Amino acid sequence: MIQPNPLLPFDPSGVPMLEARHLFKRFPVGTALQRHNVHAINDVSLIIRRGEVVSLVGESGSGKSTTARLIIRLIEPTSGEIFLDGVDMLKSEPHKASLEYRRRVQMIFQDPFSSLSPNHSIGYQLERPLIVHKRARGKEIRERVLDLLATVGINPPAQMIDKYPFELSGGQRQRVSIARALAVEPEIILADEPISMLDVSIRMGVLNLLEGLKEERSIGFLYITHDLASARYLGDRTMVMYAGHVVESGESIDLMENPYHPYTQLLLAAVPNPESDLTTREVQARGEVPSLIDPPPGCPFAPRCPQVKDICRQVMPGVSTIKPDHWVKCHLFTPDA
Amino acid sequence: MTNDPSSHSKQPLLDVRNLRVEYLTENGSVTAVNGVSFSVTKGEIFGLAGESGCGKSTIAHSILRVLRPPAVITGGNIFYKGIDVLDFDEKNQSRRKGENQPGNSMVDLDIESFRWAQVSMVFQSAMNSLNPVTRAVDQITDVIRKHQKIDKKLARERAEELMEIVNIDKKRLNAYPHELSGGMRQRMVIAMALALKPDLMIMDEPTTALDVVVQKDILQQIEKLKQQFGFSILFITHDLSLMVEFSDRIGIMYAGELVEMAPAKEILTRPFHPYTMGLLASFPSIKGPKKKLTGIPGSPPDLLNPPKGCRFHERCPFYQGKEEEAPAFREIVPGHWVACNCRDLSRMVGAQ
Repeated sequence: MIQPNPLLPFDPSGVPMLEARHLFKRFPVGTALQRHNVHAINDVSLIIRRGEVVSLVGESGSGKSTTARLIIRLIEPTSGEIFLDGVDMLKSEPHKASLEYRRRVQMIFQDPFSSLSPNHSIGYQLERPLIVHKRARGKEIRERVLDLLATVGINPPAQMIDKYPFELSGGQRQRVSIARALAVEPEIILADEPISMLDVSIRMGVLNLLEGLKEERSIGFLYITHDLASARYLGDRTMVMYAGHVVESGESIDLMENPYHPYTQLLLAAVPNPESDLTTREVQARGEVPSLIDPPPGCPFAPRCPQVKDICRQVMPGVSTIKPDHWVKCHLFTPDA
Repeated sequence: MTNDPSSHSKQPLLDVRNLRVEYLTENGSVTAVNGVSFSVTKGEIFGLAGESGCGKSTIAHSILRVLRPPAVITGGNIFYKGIDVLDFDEKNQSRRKGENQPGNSMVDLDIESFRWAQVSMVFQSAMNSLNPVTRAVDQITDVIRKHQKIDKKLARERAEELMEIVNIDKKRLNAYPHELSGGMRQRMVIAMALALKPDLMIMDEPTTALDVVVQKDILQQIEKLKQQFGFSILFITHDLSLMVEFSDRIGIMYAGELVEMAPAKEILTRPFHPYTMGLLASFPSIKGPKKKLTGIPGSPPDLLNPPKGCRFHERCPFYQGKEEEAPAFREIVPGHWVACNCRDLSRMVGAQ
């Protein structure tokens, strides 16, 4: 049942556009005499195909955002590989990502109130990437800016150009952030909780915009969220993170209908369900996410797991493939345990 | 049928009538709460749902009389056990004679004994509602000793009891807030809210900053405590799925006005106001086939210049372009209140 190469997700389409293999990230903490390491990311592998949304879900502090920052190379991994179209980027650009890499992989941040510069007009903020990345010149620039604004559903775009971020609503700001990411015609967009700061009634509009971009432009998305329902809504595949590990990955609908990992089951049981009463299902695994500072060996979920076995406290389980494109890291599904 | 949405039962615990709150800003006055009426009965969980800026928290602060300028209550009444909270005189700490009290009040109250002992509050961010430089135990005993004349030792025993009630190891009493996890801090805030055994707890987004697993755990515990102690809850959140699961009755607010009010399950199965329907269409499900959800077009209005007539009409799919008058909040079937002129009522009643 175990895949020989735990490299993971089954991929029928050949070379995926973006692939991360065995990423680890340690942050040193403490004093010179008492060195400790925060094990923020542990053996995270993922692929993003063209025109596909991969949702990354998990509780706060589970390493979702760190994963995105590693991929976009705001920070460097302690070890691991990142491939873009089959090229090992950490080897070919070891010190710093090239302008071209930054163009191809873009990011949208959670807080549209702090990700736009308050001192510059919207027009200016959308021109900059076009100029820096030499995507347009002269009169073209203004046309492209108008184009971008129209693409993200701002109507009429001409009125927006001279405005400043404080004049915009949260939803408009997030749309401008998306336009800014689109300016350089990226192939991959990492969207870190793009709707969690927005008003409830306008969230779906932004999600539908991202979905449209995926379909029309074949952009690959990594959609980071703590909300399972929106992960399922937007994501073709969903990966579940816990304490820096990806513990389960699968096609979104399948994963949420047939969760295998006890943590995924716990998460799904905790999602508010208007059709049931609160009291119907008790939370099974009390407790909280363990400290990531020099964690003990074994599965990080073992202290909370209702089905814990002896081996869980000693060895971190490997990948068990349940079916094509659905795997889990849990000793309950390893054949020899 | 009556025309008073607050008369849900004969003697409600909390009865908000026609409340109006304005923020006086340099650019003019903003009516943050515009004629809102609802009531909470004993042992009930009443939910107020709506987006940010719709006036939910302003109502909560009005009830506890902790609104600060530029916010001013410019109209209405808030009756608690028959006493108008708005008659409390902050400075003299005694109650002026209110003229519009319905019948005889059940209890004698002043603002000191009203706040916290009768009505307590759990705020959204536990980190901001706890004192970062005071140990947990001192924060809890402070509350108790302010209101009850008991010695330190007894207060500490009471604090230990409270920690047990909310499932925190009592050894953690000597911890500072930063030494506790987010879930524990929120539990501690709940313990403080329970300290004086209030009859009404106002919970303003009590679990929004927490992860879903912790959220569910805490809400289940609140539900148990509610059954044990019999208090009522005014529950405020923007998460409609959570609200339907947790509350008995729900009021939906939009731009400072209550637009729909009904039992929780009815809000889910038979929403009538177009805004409620839009809100329900803003939460994807984790079950069943994927459905395209539209949310609501446009964005919430600027309350400095609210739209004339129905405040929702600019975003409303049912709006025909005629209505000038603000719709009245009326009862369309027993217990189900709606403010809408555009939809055909007979459809709703006929569906019964």
